[in-house]
Amino acid sequence: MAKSYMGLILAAQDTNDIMGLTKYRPIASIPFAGRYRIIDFSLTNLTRIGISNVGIVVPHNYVGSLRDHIRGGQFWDLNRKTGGIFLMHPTIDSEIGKSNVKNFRSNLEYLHKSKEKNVVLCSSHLIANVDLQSIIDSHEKSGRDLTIVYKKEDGDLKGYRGCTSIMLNENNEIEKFGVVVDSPEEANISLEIKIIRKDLLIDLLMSGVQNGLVGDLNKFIEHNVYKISTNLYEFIGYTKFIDSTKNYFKANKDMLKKEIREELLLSNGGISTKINDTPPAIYKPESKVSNSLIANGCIVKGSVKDSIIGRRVVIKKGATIENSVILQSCVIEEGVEIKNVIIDKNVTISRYQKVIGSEDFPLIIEKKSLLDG
Amino acid sequence: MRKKEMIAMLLAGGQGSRLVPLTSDVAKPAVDFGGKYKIIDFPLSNCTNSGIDTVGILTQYRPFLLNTHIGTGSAWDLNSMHGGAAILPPYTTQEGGAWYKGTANAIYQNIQYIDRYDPDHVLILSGDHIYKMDYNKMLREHKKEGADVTIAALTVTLEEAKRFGIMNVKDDNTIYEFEEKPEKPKSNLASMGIYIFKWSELKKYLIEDEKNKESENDFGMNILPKMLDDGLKMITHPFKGYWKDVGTINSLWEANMDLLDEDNDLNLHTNDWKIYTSGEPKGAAYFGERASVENSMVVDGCEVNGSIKNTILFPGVIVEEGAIVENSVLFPNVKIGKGVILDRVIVGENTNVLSGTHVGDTTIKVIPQNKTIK
Repeated sequence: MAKSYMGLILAAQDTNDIMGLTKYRPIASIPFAGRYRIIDFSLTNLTRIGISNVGIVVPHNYVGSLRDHIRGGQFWDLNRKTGGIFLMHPTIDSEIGKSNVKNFRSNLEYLHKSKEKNVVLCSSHLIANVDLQSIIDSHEKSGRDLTIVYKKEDGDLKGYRGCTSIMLNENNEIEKFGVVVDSPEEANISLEIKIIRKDLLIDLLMSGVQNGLVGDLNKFIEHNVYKISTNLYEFIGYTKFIDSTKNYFKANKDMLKKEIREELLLSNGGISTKINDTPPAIYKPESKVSNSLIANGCIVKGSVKDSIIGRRVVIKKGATIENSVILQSCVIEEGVEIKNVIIDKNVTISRYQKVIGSEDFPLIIEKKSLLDG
Repeated sequence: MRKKEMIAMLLAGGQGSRLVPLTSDVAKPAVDFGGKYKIIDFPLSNCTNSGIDTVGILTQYRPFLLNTHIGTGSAWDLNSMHGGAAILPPYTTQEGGAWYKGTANAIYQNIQYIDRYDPDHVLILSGDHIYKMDYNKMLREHKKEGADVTIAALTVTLEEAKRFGIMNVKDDNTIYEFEEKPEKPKSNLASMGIYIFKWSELKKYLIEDEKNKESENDFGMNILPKMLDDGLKMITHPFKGYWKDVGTINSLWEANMDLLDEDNDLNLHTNDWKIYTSGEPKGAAYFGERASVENSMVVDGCEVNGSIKNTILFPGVIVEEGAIVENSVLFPNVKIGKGVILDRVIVGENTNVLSGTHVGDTTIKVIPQNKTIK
């Protein structure tokens, strides 16, 4: 029963490889697929199975954008009298940008006060449409204190660089944890989704602080896994860690594939996000669109191909956009040519500008910039 | 209960008989419009944007969908602790119960609801029209002139005037005569069915009107003429801007098509007078490799692989490859199969138009909701 579970979302991730989009916001509130924000996946996964108490560990800086997105939690049915949304602010002495143990220590009161006995832990930079109920079922059936969720990945591991990999022995038990580097082999990737007994989590945090161990909460639990009875759950489905510009671009482009789009955005009842009351998009006679996702509120007079266009983007006559991701409220003036580019919100590209990135390294045009000749 | 200067009462029980089959299952105010809205979203959003935070919504005919749509009123910011949206269906008392007999009777039956807020003025609205209007501006004029009644007025052609309640006014805008659908209109100032009343006066007249067994308990036919006879001060509030009664299939289609005109006066794309609606969010619209889109409105949750022209799509619509849809309005979750050709058609919610179907004529056709069309 989901009523005995609370959610904890770690939303203070490392932004070194995705700087261009995180100058003014954490990864959690980067816009995605034309209308979502990255944290919508964690929030929806948790709340649609009836979890009504969610704590979010927010980063030190630029939380405004995240706060503006989450509001009182109403879009995920989290505007509750008891429970609801709780933003866990880091303490002054916490390490910058880390979901660390000291941070939690200072928020222990929230954990103590919550009436739920178990915690579903997840990281906001993972996009995946996960049926957490089956993971809870597996956790309860196992009778263990901790469940770790992983995904078996063979083939291209480039997108998982830096992620935790789990080495299993022949009995399918955890042998050790490692870190993914470029390698052609298969790996079991930790999806940073865990289910753990709340009192056990609190004990771990207390001892962690007492012993002076600070660091990433996921890694901290993994360090202690030898003394906890652990269940493993294999997730099968689309996942992407939005921890680099490349992964972000790739994930957006993946949404142009029908099967992936339907699995990630529409299955299990879809992904909820903040409602913006934007009118439908308008396509004028001169417009030309193919293989693209275009959100509400756009006015399209130019041509768009293989691209993802956010809300209220204006694309003027003769402008061409190809293989690009354009975030909300940008203005693409007449005759502009854009290819292999990520443009952050509210950017205006002046008439007849050419903005072209390479296919492997999309160019990022930062928020609040005005590109003119 | 906190006292309110003005609350709104929205008459949303309209059957919309000329919109059948689109109104077979829903009341007229719940009919879809403009790619993601329902007709009632316009007066409700006008209330929100005008700063009116208490709205009684009077329902009667097939209210289920309307009730779900309005919910707690949160979509319009009307889930307030003090006031907010309240659905007011007919009810029973110890003396028995009755349907709402007429527009005035509907308000009469809810005198208690209104009195709870002790308002100075009451705004009466209907859920039948598409327009943006600042009711607060109207209230300011009503107060400034010290009027008992203020009626929003639209300038129409003399020909159109025959279908409206027409007001004949003096130079100072006060009404001296009120004619319901006149054969020979003396002016072209038409009532929009939007009234602000001094509540103390209206209450008196409603109670009196209820005692009169001959009365049809209607604002236009009974209450307003009686007030005028008695010499109450009635003024008009001239309205300029887009206004459309979408009471017929043709006018509903036309109003939708109006949105495709870039300079349309309704202008849904401005941020300063947003129209709010409720509903679940869906992913951005997807356009396939072979999609062709010309002069159309497409909303989140659509998938277009075929070709659309002068057409409005609602959320969840899928247009398959090779389909050609022109001059049409496709309501939520309509599926258009491969090679389908539609011209001048309104397709009701959830209908599945199978491959190879051709529908098109010079007049507007309606394909009803929840059907499979071969």
